[in-house]
Formats: sequence, C-alpha cells, structure tokens
Amino acid sequence: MNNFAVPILGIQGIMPELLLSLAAVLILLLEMTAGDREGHGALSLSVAGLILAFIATFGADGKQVFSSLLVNDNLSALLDRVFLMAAFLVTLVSRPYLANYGLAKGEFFVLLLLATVGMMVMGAAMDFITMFLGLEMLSLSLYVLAGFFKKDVLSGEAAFKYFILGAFATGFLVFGMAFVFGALGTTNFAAMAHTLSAGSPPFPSVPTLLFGLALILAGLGFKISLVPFHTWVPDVYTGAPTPVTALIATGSKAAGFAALVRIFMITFPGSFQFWGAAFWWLALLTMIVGNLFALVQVEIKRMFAYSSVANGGYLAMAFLSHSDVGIKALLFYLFAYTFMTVGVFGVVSLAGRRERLLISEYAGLSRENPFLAAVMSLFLLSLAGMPGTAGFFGKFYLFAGAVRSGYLGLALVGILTTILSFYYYLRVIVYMYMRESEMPREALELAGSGRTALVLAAAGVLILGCFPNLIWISIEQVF
Amino acid sequence: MITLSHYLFLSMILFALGVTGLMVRRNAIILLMSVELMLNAANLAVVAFARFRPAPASADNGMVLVFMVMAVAAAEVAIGLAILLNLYRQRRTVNADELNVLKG
Repeated sequence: MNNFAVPILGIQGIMPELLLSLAAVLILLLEMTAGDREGHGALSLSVAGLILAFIATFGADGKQVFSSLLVNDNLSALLDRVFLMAAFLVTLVSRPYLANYGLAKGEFFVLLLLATVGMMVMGAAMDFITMFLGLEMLSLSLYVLAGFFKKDVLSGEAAFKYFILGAFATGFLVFGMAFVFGALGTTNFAAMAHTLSAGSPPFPSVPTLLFGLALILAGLGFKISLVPFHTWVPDVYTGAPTPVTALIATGSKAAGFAALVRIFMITFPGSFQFWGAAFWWLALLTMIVGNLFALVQVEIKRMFAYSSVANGGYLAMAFLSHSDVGIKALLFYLFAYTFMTVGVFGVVSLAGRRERLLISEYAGLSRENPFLAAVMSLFLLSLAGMPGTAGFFGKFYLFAGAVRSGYLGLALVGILTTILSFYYYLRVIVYMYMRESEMPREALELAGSGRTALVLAAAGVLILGCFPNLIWISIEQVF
Repeated sequence: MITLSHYLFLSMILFALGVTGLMVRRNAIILLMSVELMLNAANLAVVAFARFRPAPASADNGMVLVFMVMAVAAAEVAIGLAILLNLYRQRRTVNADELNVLKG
C-alpha cells in the first residue's frame, strides 16, 4: 500500500493564488446577497485580495508543491508580482471607466481576479497539466471580459475573434504537448530535463520532440502575439473594453512569456540549436512588422495594439541570450512594460467618454486635462525608450544581452525600429500639446481610483528609470 | 497489427481536418466543432503514446492531461456558445465572414 501515501500538498505554496480566488468568491457572494450595484464593495475586495496576494508572494521558498505540479521559486514569485501589479492597476482604472458606461458590476472584477490566478498558475507551472489549466483559466476569463459590453457590436466581435483564434492556438499547444509527452514519457518539466540529461533518447525519435516543441511555440506565439501569429491583436485590442485591453497586453503577454521561459530556457536549453533560429526570425519579424504597422494607424487603440506587438519582439530577443542574462533582462522589461502599457491604456480609458478615439482627437488634451496629458507623455516617452524612464533600461538590458550573445544584427534592427517608433509615440505628444482641438471632447471626470492608478504607474516608470537597481536586486536573486 | 504510427496517423488526419475546418468553414458553430476536433486529435495522440511506451517507463500523468483537456474543452465550448449567442442577438447572424466591423 505504500504507493498510496498521502501526498504532501503544501497549501502555503499556493497562498497568493488561494487569496485571490477567495476574494473572487467573496465578491460573487457579495454581489448576490448585498446587491452591490455601484461596484464599490467589489473594488475594495479586489484591491484587498491583490495586496494580500502581493504580500504572500514574498513567502517563496523554492519548493515544488502538489506532486511537483507547481513550483514556488523566486522566478514565479517575481512573475506573480508582475501579474498582480498589472491586475491592481487595471482594477483601479476599471472602476471609473465602467461607471461611465453604467456597467460597474462585480463579475467584471471576479473575472479579472480569476484571469490573474490563471496567469500565476502559468508562471508557477512545472507540468504541462498545470500550464494548460492556468492558460485556459486566463484565456476563458479574458474571452468573456473582451465581450463584456454586451450591447456593443465591436466588443462582441472582438470576443468572438479572440475566442476562435485563442481556441485555435490552444489546439496547436495541446497537440504539441502530446508529442513532447510522447517523446519523453512525462508531462513534468523537471522529469523531462532529467530524462534528456540522463542520455535516454526521445521515443520514438528526436523529430517527435522537435515537432512537439515547434507546435508549442506556435501555440504560445499566438498568446504573446509574435508575428506571424499576431493577426488577432489589432481587432481584439480595439474592440475589447480598454482596461481589458490593458490586461491582455500586459498580464496575459507576460504569462505567455513565463511559459516560454519555463519550457524553452529552463527545460530544454540543450536544444537551443533547434529553437534558437525560430526565435531569431520571430523576434526580427515581430519588431519590424509591429513598428511599421503602428506607424500608419489613425486610431489610438490600434496604434498601441501594434506597439504592443513590437514590444513582444523586443522581449523575444531575450531568448537568444540563452543564459540567466536573458531571463533577467526579460523580467526587467516585463516590469517596465507593465507599468508603461497599463499607463497608456489607462489614459486611453479615461480620456474620453467615447470608446475608440482617433489620435487626432487627442489634440488639445494638455489644456483640458493637464494631468492626463502629462502622464501620457511620460508613458509614451518610456515606450519610446527615453533615458530616465523605465523603457530605456528595459531596452538597454535586452539589446545588451543580444549583443553579448553575438546577435549584433538583431540588436541593430531593434535599435533602428526603436528609433522608428519615436515617430508614432511623439506624434501623440505633438497632438496633445501643440494642436488645438477642433471639437470639444467630453472628458471623464477623473475619479479617485483612476488617478491613483495613473500616479502609481507613472511613479513605477520613473523609479525603474532612475533607480533600476531597486528591482534589479530581486531579479538577481532568481538564480 | 495496429501500431503507434497508425494511431498517430489518424490523430494527424483529425488535427488537419480541424485546422482545415477552421480555415475554410464560415459558420461559427462549425468553427467550434473544428476546435473540438483539434483537441481530440491531441488526446488521441497522448493516449496512443502512453499505451505504446516501452516498459519500464510509466506514463500515467499523460492520462491525467487527457482528462484535463476534456474538462477544459467542455468549459471552452460553454463560453464559446455564450459569446456566439450574444453575437447572434446583436447581428442575427453567426457567419464569420459578416463579422467585419473591425478591419481585420
């Protein structure tokens, strides 16, 4: 009977996830019983859950829990903090945004929290099973959130496109998992690395393993919108409610990169000769296509959608410096990217009473709302990579890592496309400060939580830009 | 004698059918069915791999993956149908070609 031993569960290992799930359940109960129509209770409960979960991430002990399904190491703790920060800022922005449309309901916050739990499970996954469950928990919540405006035709269409293409990508991912499982006989990452290093050849042959890995890369490539898997991005980013777009652009993308790091850089570093070239091409195409298409957009959300695609290309570059350096640069840029991207989408959420403004409609914003224009300029400069902002150091570490690993050409393309991106980021600033508005635009009055979120994101951008060591210390502890 | 390659061949055909269905069919319900086909092709491959794995390795956790995929696929269809229903209420159509308000 000794193969029926009671497994050591290790509840403390999933404390952040548990706390968030608990908050989600409490919000649902509150919604049902107290009739929290204005969403005040839901907001405070989400904020409390997110802060408690953030504190709980400092309890990482490096142990594997639930029969090695999840790991609670410094990497997952750091990723958790990225996800929680993104969710926290998005939650704060959502309240005034939803109130404007009369839709500040509890279920929005519940779905947001559950999506965050999915991201955290993905970041901590040590097994295909948990990685898949985390990914689906994240994706299913986001599909619903993208279609949250039930009366809005564009929101419904965005949800449908996101769902179909997301499910398509999941199909590729699971098919790839099947073949990697077939080749190595296990779904556990540690066991896979062990099998490979023990020298036992993949079953029935090496191509089985590589075929599986290629499919997994394609499946996850959809989620993090690498070119050519990015076709859904502009439509979904434009159609979804703007705070949801912010979450898709930051948290969901960070979770996809976390899964790629766990699979490719930690479990299969030995196969770099096979997947390295794939990442080289993906990074190159993503940087070029993302930036070129962003250049010609007239709608602000579409422009930021392509800008987010381009940023995915910079992040993908980290996989080529196949060592700790790459992962550290990736983590730093994820922090920086989260602050500035939630920041810009936060401003877009709160700048107008109407969804989907054109870039030219930002003319004169500096006069009507100096605060919004100022923080927007800061986020845009950071996205462009101006020294003194988070974006500068983020890009610097990524490009330096690529150069050090001998990918000078790719780093040069990165720098050139960054220079190109100055044009479309600065254009928004020019409109805000130097053009007069042609028609009066009804701005949202900035409720407390929205302003807090923007101030926090701006502070994050500045602190990371002036004192990158503050975060670099905890990143150094990952390995 | 049915070998692993037979199962894998069948699984590949199912997967290809699913992908083709998603590419060429325009009815959203058929798109949902194609997604299911892709997931079940993967399940078949996992089960076949686990069955034909040479001893001594045990590959039980693959079976767990299959059950998880089945459960999640059910949840996915539920959400997909809800999104579709909402879409139908707005537009009176579930034809993917007519969903072109966003530029694509």
